[in-house]
Amino acid sequence: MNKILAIIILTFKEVIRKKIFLIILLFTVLLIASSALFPAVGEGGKVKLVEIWLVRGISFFGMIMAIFLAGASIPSEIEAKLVYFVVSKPVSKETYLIGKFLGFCLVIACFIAVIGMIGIIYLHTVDFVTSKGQTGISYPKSPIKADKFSFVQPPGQSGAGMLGTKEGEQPVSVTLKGDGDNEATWYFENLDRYTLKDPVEIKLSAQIMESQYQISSDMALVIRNVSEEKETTQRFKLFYERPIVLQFPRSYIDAMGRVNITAQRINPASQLTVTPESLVILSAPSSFEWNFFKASLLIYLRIVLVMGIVIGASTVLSGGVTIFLGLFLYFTGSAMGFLRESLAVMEKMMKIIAEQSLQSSAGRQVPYEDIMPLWLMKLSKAVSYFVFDVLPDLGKYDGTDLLLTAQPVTANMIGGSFSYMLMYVSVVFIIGWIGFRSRDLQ
Amino acid sequence: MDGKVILEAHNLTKIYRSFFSRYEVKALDNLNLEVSQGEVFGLLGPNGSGKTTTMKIFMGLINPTSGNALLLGRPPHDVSVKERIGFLPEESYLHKFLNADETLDFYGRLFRMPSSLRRKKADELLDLLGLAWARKRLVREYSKGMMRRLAFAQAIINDPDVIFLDEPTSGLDPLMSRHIKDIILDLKKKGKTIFLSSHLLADVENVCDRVIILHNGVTQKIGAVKDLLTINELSEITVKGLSPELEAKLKEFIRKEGAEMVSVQKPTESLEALFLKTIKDKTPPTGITYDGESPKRSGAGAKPE
Repeated sequence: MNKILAIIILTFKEVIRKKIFLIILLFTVLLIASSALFPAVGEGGKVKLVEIWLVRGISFFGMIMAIFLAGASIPSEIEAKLVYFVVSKPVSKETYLIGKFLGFCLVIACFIAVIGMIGIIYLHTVDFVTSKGQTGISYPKSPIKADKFSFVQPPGQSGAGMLGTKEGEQPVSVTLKGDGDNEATWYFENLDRYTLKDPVEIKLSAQIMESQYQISSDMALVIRNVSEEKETTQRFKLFYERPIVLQFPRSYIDAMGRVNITAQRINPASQLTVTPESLVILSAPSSFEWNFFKASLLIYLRIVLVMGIVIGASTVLSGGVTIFLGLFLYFTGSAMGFLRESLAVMEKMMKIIAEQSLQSSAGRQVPYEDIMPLWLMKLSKAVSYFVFDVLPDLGKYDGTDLLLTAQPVTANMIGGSFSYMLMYVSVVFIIGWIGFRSRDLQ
Repeated sequence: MDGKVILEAHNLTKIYRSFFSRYEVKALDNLNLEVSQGEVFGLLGPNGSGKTTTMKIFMGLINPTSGNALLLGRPPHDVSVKERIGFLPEESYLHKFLNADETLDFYGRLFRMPSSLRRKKADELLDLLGLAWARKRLVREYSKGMMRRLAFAQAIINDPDVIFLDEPTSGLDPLMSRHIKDIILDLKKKGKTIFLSSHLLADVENVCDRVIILHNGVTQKIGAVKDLLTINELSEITVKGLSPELEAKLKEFIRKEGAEMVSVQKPTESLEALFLKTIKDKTPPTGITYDGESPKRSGAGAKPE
């Protein structure tokens, strides 16, 4: 343990004394500080901007620092033959490797802690100065799911039904379309009226489709107090792929904690696709700092994941190649959601091609064929899926997005992120260790 | 040698291959040697003769292409072996962002020394090597000679049984180089086994019991220094006050007895001895003085004993 500690201390001192750490730290702080000077729109817009720069700054510079410092460390020590001293002492290569890894974990943790603390103080200062009364900070609100969900459709279509929304049940999506009185209703029961803020906030995330050229549709929500039989209707525009947050007075929740919310379409030509979990009531805001801490932990684990892979790889690769690999993992890992989506489009296209070639019996008249032959497409798909399955998906536990959209980070996410990181790092360490063991350190 | 065998090499061969080209270099060719306990063994040879390669194999830094090396009866990779050895590489590879105290503290930790022992050891070694005055300065600011001495200090921090010294006196002035040689002889007196490589022949001659001479990785000669250097057919007589007449008489006498007088020369002093005598009373900034016979520690920065 003392040996690992010695290498951790050495690694930490190296980074601090080489000043690069302080330079990046100072630069990040300045950048976050300067974000308050940028033009911002709306109430609390300035605070939101600082918040975005703070969270993205920690995430980006932490990652860049991890990749560059940790990626170059072992190769440069081998190059400068500093590793001689360590390896000729009673220190195994494994101890050295783990010590280095933990040392850099400590460096990154310090970076995030320092920036985080400065950032939180700065954020509150900006919030205090700029916003009058109404805070702009994204206090996290947890979603409360509906207890029951039902939908009604005119005869001839898929009919009506009632679905439970209990955990574990498969969320079924329902598409409301065509003429008539079709709608979807969410039933909330046993809400604790007094812990909710007045007005109560609801969030609707649903898919819309009107015509090819429309990106928004007119919708209405009917909020009903069940026991008093009073209701209020809210009209709004729902945009494609964008959730909306609406408010209603708390008095619509009855004494037993019940409220029913119904979604309706205004234009019969539009389509609305919802699930039992599309509409949620948002709880009263909880501590931002606590959520910030947890989100930072997610960001940290994400950086550690990439850093672990980079350090493992650096035992057998040169510094330049390692850093390139790190940046590659960072960029593809962050864009994984987008990449998977485009792959889904490709798959759809392949299905169409397959259907068409089935119809045109002798394989004549196959469009797309001139763009890319089918076999190449299939190969590309297989390779892509392999790559996507092997490479880490950095969007999976994205602390930055959760924090900025005021969603609470749960313990499950942190646990998941930790085991995800551990899985990758241990696999790469085992591979790196095998390579490192047999490597000549000349 | 009668002692226990500490270090052995059997048919040790190392071939360096470049990854892309088929160009290869045989750095070491069938090396066989055995070093016993308490011996100072010298590895001699011109640059590129395989000295450092041999060292690195014994250190477990590189793997031999064929043959095997044993250190204290175990393979060099074995971590337990490393508890008992010290290594001074060819160049003083030190962490430049640490100071001397921190450097020795770091290496002490690698041997699981408790902190009180680490501090005691650091004091002792920095004193011995005349670095106590510069202990808080970053290694980055050190001269080459100071780095060499600090590197030497880390090599013996664990009180090792076997010490590997690759060019121990490189970059040192004659004074310091003499001092290091004395430390080596001191270590030998304590029963340490020393494996030393150098291309400075005077170094080797002064301190080594046995040597091996390598050239292009091939063993040229191996044996005790005395045996290798003694010319058995010749004998030297040193006379004070030799007049030309006496010289002629002697020559005649020797010829009569059936032997031959090959040469008559004035013995010369070695340059090293001359140098040391010349600067005998001058205290250098390194904190070491030399009284003509044996070096002693000066008080500069050192703690009283």
